[in-house]
Amino acid sequence: MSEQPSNTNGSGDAYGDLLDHEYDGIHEYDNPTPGWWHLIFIGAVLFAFPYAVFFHWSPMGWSIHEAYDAEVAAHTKKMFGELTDISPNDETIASLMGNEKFMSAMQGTFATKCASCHLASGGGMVGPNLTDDVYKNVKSLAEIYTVIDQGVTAAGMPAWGRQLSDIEIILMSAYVGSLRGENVAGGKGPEGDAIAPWPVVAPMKLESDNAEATS
Amino acid sequence: MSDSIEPTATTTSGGGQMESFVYDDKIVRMFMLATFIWGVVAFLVGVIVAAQLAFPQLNIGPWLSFGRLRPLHTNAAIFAFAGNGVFTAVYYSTQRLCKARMFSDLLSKLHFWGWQLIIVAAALTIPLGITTGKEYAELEWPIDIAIAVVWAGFFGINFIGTLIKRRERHMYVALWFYIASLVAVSVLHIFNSLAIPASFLKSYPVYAGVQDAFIQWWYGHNAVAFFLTTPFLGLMYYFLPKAANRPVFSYRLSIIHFWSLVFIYIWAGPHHLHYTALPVWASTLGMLFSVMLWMPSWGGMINGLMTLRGAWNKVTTDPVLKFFVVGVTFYGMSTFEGPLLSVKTVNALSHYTDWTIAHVHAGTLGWNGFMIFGMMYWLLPRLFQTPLYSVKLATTHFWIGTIGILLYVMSIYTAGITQGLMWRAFDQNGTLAYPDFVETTLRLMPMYWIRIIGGTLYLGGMALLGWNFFMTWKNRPSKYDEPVNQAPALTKDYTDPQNPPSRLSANTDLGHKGDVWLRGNWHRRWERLPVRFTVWVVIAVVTASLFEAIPMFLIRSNVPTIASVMPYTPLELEGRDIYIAEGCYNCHSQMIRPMRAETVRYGEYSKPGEFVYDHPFQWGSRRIGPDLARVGGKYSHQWHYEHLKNPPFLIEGSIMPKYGWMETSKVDFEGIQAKINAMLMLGVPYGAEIDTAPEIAREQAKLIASELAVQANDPPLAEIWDTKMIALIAYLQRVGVDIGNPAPEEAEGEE
Repeated sequence: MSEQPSNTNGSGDAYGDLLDHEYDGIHEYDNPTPGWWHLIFIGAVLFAFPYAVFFHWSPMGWSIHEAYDAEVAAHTKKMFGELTDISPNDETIASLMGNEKFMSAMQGTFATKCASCHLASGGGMVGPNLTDDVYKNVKSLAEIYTVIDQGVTAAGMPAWGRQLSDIEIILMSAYVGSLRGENVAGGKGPEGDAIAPWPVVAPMKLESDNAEATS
Repeated sequence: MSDSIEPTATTTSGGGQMESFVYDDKIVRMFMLATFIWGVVAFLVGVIVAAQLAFPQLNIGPWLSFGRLRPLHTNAAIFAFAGNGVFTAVYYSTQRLCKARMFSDLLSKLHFWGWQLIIVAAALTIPLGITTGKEYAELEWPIDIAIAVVWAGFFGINFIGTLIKRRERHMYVALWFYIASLVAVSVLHIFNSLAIPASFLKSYPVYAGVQDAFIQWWYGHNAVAFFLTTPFLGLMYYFLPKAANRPVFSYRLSIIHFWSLVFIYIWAGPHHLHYTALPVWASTLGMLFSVMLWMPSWGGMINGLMTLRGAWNKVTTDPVLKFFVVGVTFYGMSTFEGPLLSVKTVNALSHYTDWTIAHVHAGTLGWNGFMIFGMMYWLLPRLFQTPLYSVKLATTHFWIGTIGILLYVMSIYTAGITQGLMWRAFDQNGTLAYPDFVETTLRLMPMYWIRIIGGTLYLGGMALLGWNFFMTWKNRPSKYDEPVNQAPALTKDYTDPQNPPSRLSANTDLGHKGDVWLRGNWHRRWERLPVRFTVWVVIAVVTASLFEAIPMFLIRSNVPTIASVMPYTPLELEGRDIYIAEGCYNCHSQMIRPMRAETVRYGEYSKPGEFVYDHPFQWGSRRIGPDLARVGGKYSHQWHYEHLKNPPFLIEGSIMPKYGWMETSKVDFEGIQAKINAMLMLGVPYGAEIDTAPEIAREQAKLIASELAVQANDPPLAEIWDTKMIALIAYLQRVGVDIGNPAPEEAEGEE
């Protein structure tokens, strides 16, 4: 860039011209800043301002929260789209107990939300054993729904109605119901009373069953 | 020796009265010894906390549990080890660059002993659970005041005083970086630490929730900038060319990277809060300024590494240069990684994981540590006026340290990315692939073992330094030679050199003027005006800060009010203070991000309005355990009780410390009133009944204990109502529940 700048002392070597600066023996070259350094720096600045305009003010930008809502809606539609008009009664819950897709999904949810008290196996720890044949606060499948939805304050069972959707709680009731009688090894001792067996009903017919059968 | 004063100095300076002076090297020796001692402490505690994560049984009692020791480690590493290292560099180089003894020997001593006392106070209070709960700013208000006095007062006056009475006309770039550090750290520390004391050792920050988070990370990020970066660049600019005996690569690059760094760094803080309840505009600013910061940061690396041109052969034999080369290289890697991590989508993966931990350790172990070690090996023979005891030992230190860092960062990078990916993995049903949080922790154990080995090697390197230090000191002369230097005083009648002519052959007048401006002679003028230079740095730092802070505090829509969010009850507030004192925030976040992987695991994402009474905010920065933002009501009292007493009993493989001691540790109910009063001063609307806070707290405690006794079917448990266990459970059961409650009647008519 510069052949012989006036503020150098004229000396220098293969690595550049020396300035007439000297501090405790330290000298400085008059080298220019590297070109690629400028390019990336200017590039970063040129990226920044259009990005802010694009992301926040243009119609093509998106909000993080809208993107999240869309993600949740897509998942709900994919997973539970065909279950929109079900209600928490014994028959409905019983008819879902055999559905592989929903029950394996609920197994995951159970591990996230319930396992800390009931163990992932359902064998019980702080919370009661869900795999034996006796129940503390429940006489029917529909009452499982109520317990999950509203909790049992005295027993320390939280109300999940705030965190899970209605459909999820219905499915979870079915999952918990399906654990009955598994009597997993190492389960907690019985608490509560023996109750009538669940009603036997035909599995709910769902389109996804056919789709899965063919795939 | 190359660092003796050249007689040519008289010809370049203003030709004032010739003056004699002696450098104060005793204070440098003191700071250097303190650097070593606190370095050992910081690294040792680091190895201990690393071991506690792999072997949780090493959490011994309340005082030596991870939540209390981790802040001790970070504070010791940053403020004790790096801090004293910076002072060593500043006190040695400033005197020589100014051709002057430090302004005041008394201030030097007050600075040294004041700083060491602060460190001792920190080392005592933090393990006792006396903390503000704000990361890297944990020290309570009396110590904060002492820091302000020692830093801005003793150190600040001493340093600026030396600049003013200097005998070198122009200030070298190292001094610019020292000025920036002095100014910015003062501003950051004071504004982040503003608090209302509730008692002698307990205070609440004046900011709450979103704003507290913003100020905290404005501080936290810029502590990295102005405590761990700019002073170390100053160190590099002095010691690296001295050790290499080479001119600095580019003066112009120093100017442009200094100012761009000082101005841009300040904005980048919000990148620590991506996807949180912080307003998205602030998050965007944080990301963009971080990306823009990449090249200003690299300016320092380029000037460091390019200065070694013509001296690379020396690197093969000189351990000092080895340390510097690897140190500067780690600086370059960290300052590339910083902007990378600040990109929102990358941060979505990395945030709350060990990736951040690996990033900061590449910076502190590689850059800060190695720059300090290089400086110390260069200083030891000069300060003790005898050859270094063993160059071979120093070289061994270098290799052990390097291997230690590599083991540390590679294992912890792997841990971070592994855990981040596990947290967000879904199976084909759209449910979490790893629903049980502890699975993602246990997967990291082999990496945690490797980290312990890496950290131990780094600490072992420190032992070699200690031996070399001691043996060199032992060989010192019976009396240090204190050479009397001479330099002319600066005179007032200095005229700056003429501007160079424009290099452009054909252009407009404006073009010529612009070209002359680009040659930087205006900056040369600033370099001989330290006060004006300092003022410009203040303006750069403060302007950038205000651009973000003013909208953050003034725009109401940043924190939309949620009518159902209420202040904590007196007992919950007490429980929250226990949560803070135990350092729970070191392992648990309270901030659910709007991502399905988070809301499925933890519950509804966090809203800004939920935190308006959180003095301080407790969003956390690392999830060694799960997020707790929605823990309230999720478990029974009994579950919390059993879990706090013995976490692995409920969660197999849990690495959480045991808190059974809380069951017998009593709450100071009478002390709660002062806390509530402090909260009232901060504007928390407690209403009229609040002069009986201890009573209200006792009632709630008895209620919770009786519920616990029923749940556990163990009536005597009701007796523990007056313990910390119950207060903490009261708080945990409250966290994040307000948002689901119906709004109170008074709130009707809003909106």
